[in-house]
Amino acid sequence: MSDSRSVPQQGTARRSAIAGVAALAWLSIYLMPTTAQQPSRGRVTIAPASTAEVRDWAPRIDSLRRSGELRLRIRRDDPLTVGRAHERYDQYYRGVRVYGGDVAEQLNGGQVVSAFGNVYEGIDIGSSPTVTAERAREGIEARAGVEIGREPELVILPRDDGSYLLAWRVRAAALGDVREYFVDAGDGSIAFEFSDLKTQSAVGRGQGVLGDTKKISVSPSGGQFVTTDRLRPPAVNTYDMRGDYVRTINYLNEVIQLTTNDLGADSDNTWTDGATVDAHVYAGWTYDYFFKRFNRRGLDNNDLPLVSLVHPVRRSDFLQVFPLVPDFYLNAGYYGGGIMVYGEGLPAGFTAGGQTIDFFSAALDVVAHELTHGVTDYTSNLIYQNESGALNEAFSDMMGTAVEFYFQQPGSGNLRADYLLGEDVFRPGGIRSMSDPAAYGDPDHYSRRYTGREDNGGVHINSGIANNAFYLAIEGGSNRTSGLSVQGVGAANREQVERAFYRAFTQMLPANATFAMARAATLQSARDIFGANSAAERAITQAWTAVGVN
Amino acid sequence: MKIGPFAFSIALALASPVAAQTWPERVHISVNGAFQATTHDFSSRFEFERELETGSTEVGYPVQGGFVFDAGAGFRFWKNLAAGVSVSYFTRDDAANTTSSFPHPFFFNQPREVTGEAAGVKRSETAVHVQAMYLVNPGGRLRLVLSGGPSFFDVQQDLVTEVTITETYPFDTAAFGSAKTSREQGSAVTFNVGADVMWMLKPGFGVGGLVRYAQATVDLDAPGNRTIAVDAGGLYAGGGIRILF
Repeated sequence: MSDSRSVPQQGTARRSAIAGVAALAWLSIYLMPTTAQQPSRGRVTIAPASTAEVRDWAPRIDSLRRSGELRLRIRRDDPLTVGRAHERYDQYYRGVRVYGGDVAEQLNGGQVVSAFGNVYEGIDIGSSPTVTAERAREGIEARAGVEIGREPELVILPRDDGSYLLAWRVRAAALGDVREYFVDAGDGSIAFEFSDLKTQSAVGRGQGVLGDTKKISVSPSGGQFVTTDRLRPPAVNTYDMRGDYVRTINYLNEVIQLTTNDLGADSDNTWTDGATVDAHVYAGWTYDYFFKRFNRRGLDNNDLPLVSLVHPVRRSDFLQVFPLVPDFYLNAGYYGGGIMVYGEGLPAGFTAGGQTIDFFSAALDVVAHELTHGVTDYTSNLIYQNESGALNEAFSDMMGTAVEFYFQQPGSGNLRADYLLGEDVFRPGGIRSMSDPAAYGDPDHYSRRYTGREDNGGVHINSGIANNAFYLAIEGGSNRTSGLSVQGVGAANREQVERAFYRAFTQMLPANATFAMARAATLQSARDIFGANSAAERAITQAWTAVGVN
Repeated sequence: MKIGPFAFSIALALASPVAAQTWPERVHISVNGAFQATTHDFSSRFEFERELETGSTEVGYPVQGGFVFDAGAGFRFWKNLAAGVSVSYFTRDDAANTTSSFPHPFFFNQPREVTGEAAGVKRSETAVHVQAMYLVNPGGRLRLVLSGGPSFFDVQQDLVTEVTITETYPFDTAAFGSAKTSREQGSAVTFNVGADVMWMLKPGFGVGGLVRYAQATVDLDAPGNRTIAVDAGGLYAGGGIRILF
């Protein structure tokens, strides 16, 4: 694995392109999402996001099918959507299945509607094993201490470093575990193995960063417990990167894959690593919020797995590593595809702007903010610059705050729901305010919007305008710049504003939306849901007017 | 044991026409079908550990009255005094109502309340009544037996030991799945008092009406190393055939 490690190079990492900037510069761009992911060497990811992209992929997939590189494994009619069918294809190389190479197509009357998968290119190895299947099986039988009846399968195994290996895949069930072994078909050594035990769920007791105790949904595995949530519909996995920033970057670049061994682990199911606990629990809570409030099934509304990475660096390495990967200390990011990375914060004794900075997963609104970027990616896909970018940021702030109010008691201080952003990480005070954006240097009125080029045209700055509108629509009060007052729906009816904004931001806004469009869309949404002249419509109307968006 | 005032007054009333004639037979046998009027509803509560918290289940057991089979015999050993023994058997199935509090898998202090019904919860009571008898023969076809003495109760009762639920994400609610029961047994000693009025259809054979009161409190082992006290028996009345020889 060491030969595949490298420090991030410009343009290779998926994270924000702001590495190397001094620490304080980061304070203005916290919680930003990232851009499209690049495939790693050899592996081609098929994930078209539009009909046009599906059309582009269709002939390429068809070509692979005709050449025999993709072979149909299963075809099933969609039980939920009449007329739709799903086909799954496995990739083969010289008649040998490529492990992990497969494509799933959705068809509508023969037309490809969607296609997702991974295929591997550049395979150039022999397909004739030197080691026999029997010898491979005997080797695993000796290792696992069990007798194996099933025949080993010859496969092409893609490796983390981009190479390929002809291997025998042997599955062995031993006491308390089911393991998949990959035996090098050339020399009989074990090239790779992992636990494939589909374990039951378990509920553990976790202590968060701020010392609070909460339930954590985990799974037993290999005599311990790991941060895999099997109770929620999507896979929710939290990986402890153990301070290995190179490995973290390589994972984000899909150079390597993470395994069960990378999951957060605990021997007695009483979890004390607060960063892991909070990242894992809050990811689940955020999923819960979207499900319960909006009946949304995860980021893509199709239960996309949620992957959280914690401890991408170590605090103890701060002085050496911070200049290389400052965002792994002072940022949290949504990296696309359901992947979040939570920064490590500052070591004890360090402050920034008079604030201590804790593990970024410590704040529920931060976690929900990041995941909401994923929701935006899969819906309106608001372009991350200028007004649409500010709306993108604002929507994440709104949902982050909404999740806080859903699960935490209103109030001030740690673990309380309020209209500050990141206040449980950046102490005291957080980094933004929805009730008073100007207190943090952000505009609360359209007339004061930032029009420069910094921060992608002020996406974290001008978000304050929409944030204040959201706040006023719920709580009421006056905009500090215009002085106009708003009759909010009241905290008890916050759901009305949340629903109106969610519907507008996810279903009605175009990618390059403006503030004026956001006003119109949220008003239309409120009218659709609650009726014309409803309290929600009135409150939202007054709120946008108060912040100068007409 | 408390003797019900109703049963006691019956016994006194029937005893007032003191024997006018002798009781010629040595043995009398009675076989009765009767109705036990007393209800013995009871409840229990047990706790369990789940999802790092303590859950609980309250169970209400309705034990309505019902049919009682009663059979016995008496032996006259001196003048109008006799000794006898009767056996009564009562059984019925009822549905127990459960109300459970199941901890939430994701959150502390957000239990889900689940109600359900455990059908076919069986109760059976077998009692052996040892009796001292006073035999009254007013003359003609009428006979009367007044009795009292110790009773030995054996009670078998199904108790709900576990409630299972069905639950799906997001787990904010849960539905009753099933209830597991175990049959527990207990015994107790109490007293009985009764009266048997016979109408002789022909020499040695007649019909009769019986009223008896015998009620006991029985301790049953319950889930969670606890004991539940349940009442058994009570007042029952019925009739049947009489054989005298």
